[in-house]
Amino acid sequence: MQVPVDLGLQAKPKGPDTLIDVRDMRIYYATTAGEAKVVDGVDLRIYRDEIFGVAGESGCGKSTFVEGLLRLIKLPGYIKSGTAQFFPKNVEGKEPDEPIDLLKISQQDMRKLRWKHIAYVPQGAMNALNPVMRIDDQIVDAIHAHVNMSRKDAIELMLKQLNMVGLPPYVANQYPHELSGGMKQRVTIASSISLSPDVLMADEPTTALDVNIQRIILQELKEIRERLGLTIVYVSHDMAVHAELADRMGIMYAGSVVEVGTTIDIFKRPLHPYTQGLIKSIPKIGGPRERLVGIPGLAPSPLAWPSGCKFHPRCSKAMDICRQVAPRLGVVEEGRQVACHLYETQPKVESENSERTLSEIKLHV
Amino acid sequence: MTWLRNCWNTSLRFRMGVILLIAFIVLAAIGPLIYGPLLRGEQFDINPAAPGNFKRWQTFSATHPLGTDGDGRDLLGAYLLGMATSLRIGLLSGFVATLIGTMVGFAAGYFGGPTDTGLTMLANILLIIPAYPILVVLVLYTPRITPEMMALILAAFSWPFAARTIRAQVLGLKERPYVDLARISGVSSLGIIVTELVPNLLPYLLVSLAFSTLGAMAAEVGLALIGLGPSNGISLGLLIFFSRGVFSLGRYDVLLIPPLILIAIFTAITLINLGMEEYLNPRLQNVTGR
Amino acid sequence: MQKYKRFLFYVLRKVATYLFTIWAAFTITFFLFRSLPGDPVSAWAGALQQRYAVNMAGGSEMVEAYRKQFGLDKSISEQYFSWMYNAIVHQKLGPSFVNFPRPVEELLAERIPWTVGLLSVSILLAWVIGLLLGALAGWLRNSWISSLLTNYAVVISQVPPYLVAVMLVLWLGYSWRILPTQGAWDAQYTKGFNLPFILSVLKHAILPSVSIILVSVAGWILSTRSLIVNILGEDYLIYAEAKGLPTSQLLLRYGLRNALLPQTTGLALSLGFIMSGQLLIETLFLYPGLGELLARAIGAFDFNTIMGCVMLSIVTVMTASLIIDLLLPLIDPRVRAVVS
Repeated sequence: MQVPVDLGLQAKPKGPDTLIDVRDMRIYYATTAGEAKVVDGVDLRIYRDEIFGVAGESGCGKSTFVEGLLRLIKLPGYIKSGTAQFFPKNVEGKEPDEPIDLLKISQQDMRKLRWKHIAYVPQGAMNALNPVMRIDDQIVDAIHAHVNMSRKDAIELMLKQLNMVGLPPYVANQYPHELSGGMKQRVTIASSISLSPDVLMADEPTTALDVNIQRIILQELKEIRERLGLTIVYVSHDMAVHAELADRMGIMYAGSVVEVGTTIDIFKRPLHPYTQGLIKSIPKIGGPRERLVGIPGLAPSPLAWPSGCKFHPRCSKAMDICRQVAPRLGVVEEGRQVACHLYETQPKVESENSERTLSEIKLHV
Repeated sequence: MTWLRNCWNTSLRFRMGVILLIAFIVLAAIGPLIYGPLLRGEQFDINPAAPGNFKRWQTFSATHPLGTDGDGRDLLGAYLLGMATSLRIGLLSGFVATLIGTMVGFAAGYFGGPTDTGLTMLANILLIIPAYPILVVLVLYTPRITPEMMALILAAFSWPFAARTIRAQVLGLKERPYVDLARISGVSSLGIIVTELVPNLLPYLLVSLAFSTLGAMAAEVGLALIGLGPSNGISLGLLIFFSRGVFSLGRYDVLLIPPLILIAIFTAITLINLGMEEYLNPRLQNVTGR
Repeated sequence: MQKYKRFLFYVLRKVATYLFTIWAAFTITFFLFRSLPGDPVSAWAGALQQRYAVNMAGGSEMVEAYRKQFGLDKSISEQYFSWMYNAIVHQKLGPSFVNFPRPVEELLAERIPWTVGLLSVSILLAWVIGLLLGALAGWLRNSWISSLLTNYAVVISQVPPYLVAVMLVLWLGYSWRILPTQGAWDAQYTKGFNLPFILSVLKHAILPSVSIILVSVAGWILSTRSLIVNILGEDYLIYAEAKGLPTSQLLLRYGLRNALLPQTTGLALSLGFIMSGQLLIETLFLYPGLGELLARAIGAFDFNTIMGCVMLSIVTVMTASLIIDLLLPLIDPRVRAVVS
């Protein structure tokens, strides 16, 4: 795609064809200091063929949320409650529109869904490849775990995927340490979608890479989506990345989702005070020098979330009710959800941040 | 010292090991207070472990709660004294070995270059010399050997292990920014070592100490099993040595108690080591503290 | 080409270190022994005198004659060089005391098969069992199986094998009398390649090898467990799991395989330390191996034999680690990258 600035943002979220419907998902960690409620009631709907960005400060539970959908949570962490209905295309032994509850199915069934229907690129994708195995062996074994295919065909398929992200065929014969960070990243992403999964979950795949490579990889992800029609759930703390990539976004704070909307809406008119803070803390290029405003206070600990609205101790607009009653995520307008007491009575408040234009934000991506 | 408290809090194994080891040390230290009053009524109230002081093969009685052995030792007293000697040899040797090892490891890791090459080479050479035959010959040739001398001889062969660990840690720590910061702000080498490096190395020093102590205690038993022990003394190894040939007499307690005490002490130290490892490497913890 | 040059340089450096270390270790040992008061023959004569109250008044000429035969009348540096010369050029280690006048190299050659047979099989078996159990303990690290294995390993791992041997001898050998506790075969069979003899050898090997296995397994369990637990936290394992690989593949190809490299190094090193570690086991079971020979040699102040055993031990340890150093770049792609 030629000009990055407006891509994705202008693409309207396609139809209400739900792919994953998460309700009240909770993932707790049993620690010596008590129960850490890392994911504490997430409600989210992800549509087919969209790029959905999950944003939030580190420690807000966004990675755990994705790991939970893949059932990769290890003890002492466990899934406390919730449902995550998944509507994949043609899964063997299943009716077309019959949902699968990702949080309830057996590990054995989950194993069959992984990579073939739900692909995952972990945080630190740089180290996702086994250092003592050749690239081809690591990809072919995954293909063989899901489809019956000769080794020759599997290699063929892998080479096609590598070619798609511009990697030469000889990469297949190499060991991970012989590749650069960006190359390893691309190998991971390209091979993850070799069986055309319904959804790719990418957890900050571009951290630890320099900005140029990040940019190229994001471009490649978008191209792949345009060509193959793939749903991508993209987790990142970096709002600029979301501005570039995502169709819709969910903002997470303290283990739950506080705001959902199209990326354009969220950047133009953030509703939740936390979202407003996030956007205000993005530095902008050009215009008068301005002091960057961060969000005051520290992120709370999952061992003891604040009462009521978990954001109230850091919120400049906190009211009495915020300290006592936790706001629920509710529809404010078409395609827009927010969990904040400010909007139950006056849902269409004008944001103070609206004068900031999108191009200002995007320039320094 | 916060890391010690953290270690204590994170690891059940560490707590168990420390409690067990302290119990043994206390028991060994107050030994005379336990067997002394019991034996005082007898004709000899001096050394319960000297052979021929009491009637042989007595069974359990108020004076001799664990009976006596074939050489007429009061067994309770002998076990307590033997424990004290073994622990003394082990801990002293462990301390000395860790001290030498730390200094060598520090010098090698901190100064690098030819110092490092030379010291590492020396440690490697000592590591491959089979220590046991040399220990035996040295002990054989040393007249009137005391537990302290044995400890020193044992330490002479075990310090390279400590040196190796410490060197690796120093090499890692040296790269940390705060060491550079200290260097830039004009703190001397020694100052940096004392203020910045030592506190970070303490857990590793403790691991080395535990390993050297274990090694020395095991080596003492190895020497004792061929009859070489501190002269005029008793140790757990010697008790095992003396108890051979009791097979047919049915006094299994005489055979089993000394090795079991040893195994219990070894277990305590291994537990401490494992606990430290769990603390230093959070992935080994069953339940994370944070 | 540059790549091969660097590898060649690496090999040369390793071989040079190998030779130097052997030489240095040997030299230190030689002078350490010789710096002790008295020389072996006089010490031996003294010990004889003390032990058996032999009247040595007329024996001083005999002692002199023996001193000459063992080359002890020469200066220490002359002795050093002639020992080195004979050992390296002629592979001759001099006459022994314990089996006078048989040469030491003959005694060693006679005993090597027993030690290698008993210990290498035990150590290998222990390694395989320990690796599998350790992997299990790491994989199921929150289960009762894991805590059982770990706790067993904690209690046993640091216990010297001879203590276990003493207890085994006690229970199985003496109380139940089901297994032989001494020697390597029953005297009534002729030594050679026949079934009764081989069975007898195997039967005699059970107790010593079980005592070695019980203890060394524990060490391998602990180290493999912590390796596997570390690997389980690695990104590549999480990704492998996200690929939907079956559990068996995950454990074997990604878990155990990555733990195998360090553990193979450890195995080679422990094979090298065969002699020093298990000396007491052989003594306890009167097993006709190197350890038992060394124990007798020490008891008799048999300098040549002690030096021979020590030398052999040093060379095995160093050779084992040299082989690892040379093989590692071939096995582990990461090491290869550093080397070439």
